[in-house]
Amino acid sequence: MDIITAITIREALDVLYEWRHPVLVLVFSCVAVAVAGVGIFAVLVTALVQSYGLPPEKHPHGASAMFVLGSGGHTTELLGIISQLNFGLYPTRTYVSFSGDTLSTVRALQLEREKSVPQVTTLELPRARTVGQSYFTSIFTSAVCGFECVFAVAKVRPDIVVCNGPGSCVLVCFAALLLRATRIKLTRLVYVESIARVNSLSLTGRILISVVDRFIVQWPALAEQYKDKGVEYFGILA
Amino acid sequence: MPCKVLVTTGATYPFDGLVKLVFTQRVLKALSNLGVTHLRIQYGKTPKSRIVYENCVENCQTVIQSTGINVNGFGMTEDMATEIRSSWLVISHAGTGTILDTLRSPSPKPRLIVVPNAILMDGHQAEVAAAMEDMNCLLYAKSATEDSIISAFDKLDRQFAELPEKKSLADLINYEAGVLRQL
Repeated sequence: MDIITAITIREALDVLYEWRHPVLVLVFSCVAVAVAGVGIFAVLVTALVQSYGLPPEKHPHGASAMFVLGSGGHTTELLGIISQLNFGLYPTRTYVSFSGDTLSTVRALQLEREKSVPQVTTLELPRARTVGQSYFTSIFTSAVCGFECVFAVAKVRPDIVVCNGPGSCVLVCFAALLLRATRIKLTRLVYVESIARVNSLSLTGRILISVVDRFIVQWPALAEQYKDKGVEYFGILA
Repeated sequence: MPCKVLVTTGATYPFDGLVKLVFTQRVLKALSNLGVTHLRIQYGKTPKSRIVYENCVENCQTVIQSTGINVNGFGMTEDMATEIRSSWLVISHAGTGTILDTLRSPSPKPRLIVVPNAILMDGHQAEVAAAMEDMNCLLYAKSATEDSIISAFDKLDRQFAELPEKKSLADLINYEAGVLRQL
C-alpha cells in the first residue's frame, strides 16, 4: 500500500527550522551560492555567445576606440595601421601600454600630434609578466594586471578594441568580453597577427582566435592553415 | 656607386655576434672590393656591446687602414629611418622594424642583408626574413657565418623585387566600430 504524504511549505520550513543545525545551514547556503554562481556564469556565457551573432552597433556620431600597444615591433605595426584611420570618426581614443614601456606612449602621442588636436587618453597598466620573470610569481602579477584591465576597460567602455599582441593584450580582450557578456557595451574585438608570424600563430593569437570578432593575418600560408576559423588575409599591413 | 653601409643590431636584444662577424678580415676586404667607403655600426645600447665594438675596431685596425674604410659607430638613434635611407646597403638583424623600414624606403632603396641572431634562432623572428627572401626582396644569410655574408655580397647586383603594397585595415575597423554604413 502506498503511503502518500503531503507536505505543505509551512511544514517543510518547520522541519528545516527544527533541524537548524549549523552544519546543515552551511551546506544549504553553499549549495545556494554555487547554484547562483553557475546560473550567473551560464547567463553570461549565453549572452557572450549570443553577442557574436549581433552586427556591430552603429555609431554615426563617432566611436570610442581602444588601441593596445604591445611594445617595440608590435607598437610600430599597430601605429602604422591606426595611422590610416580617420580620427574624425573616433572622437575618443585610448592607448593602452604596459608598465616599463614608455616609448610606446611617446610614439602614440607623436602620431596624435601629427594627425589631429590631441584629445586622447593614454593608460599604463601593469604587465602580466616581464621577460625572465618566474612562472610562479607571474600568476600574481597576471592577477593584478587582470584586475587593472577590467577596471580600465569598464571605465573607458570602448566600442572597439584593436590589438596585435603580445601576451598582455589577452587580458584586455577578456575584460572587454566581460563588458559584452554583461551587455554594458557590445565592444568589438579586432586582432591583427604580427607580420613576423609567417607559418604559425603566436600563443596570443591561438588564445584569441576563437574569441575575437575579426582575426587578421599577414601571410597567405597562415590564412590557408586557419581558414576554417574565419581568419582573414588582405596582404601585408605594415 | 656604393659608399655607405649600415650595420644594425637592433634595440631589443644585444647582437654582438653581428658586429664581430663584420669586423673580420674577409668581410671588411669584401666590402672594400664592393667600393664601400663608409661603415656605420649601430652596436646596441648596452655597455658590453660598446666594448665589443671598440675591441673589434682595435683588432681590425690594420685592415681598416689598408682598405681605407671610414668606420664609425653609435649605440642607438631615434632616427633610424634617416640612417637607413642614406645607406647603399643595410646589414641587419632579423627585426621586422628594420626590415620594413629598409624595404619601405623611398627609391633608391638600400639593399638588405639579414643575419639572424643565433640566440633567437629557435624563435620565429627569422621566418619573416626567409619568407621575404623567397619573394626576392632581400638576402638572408641564414647560417650567420662569414661565408654566408660574403656569398650574399656576390648577389647584391641582382634586381630586387618591391615589397607588395601596404594594405589598409581602415574599412574593416570602421565597419566593426559602426562608423561606416557598409563594408
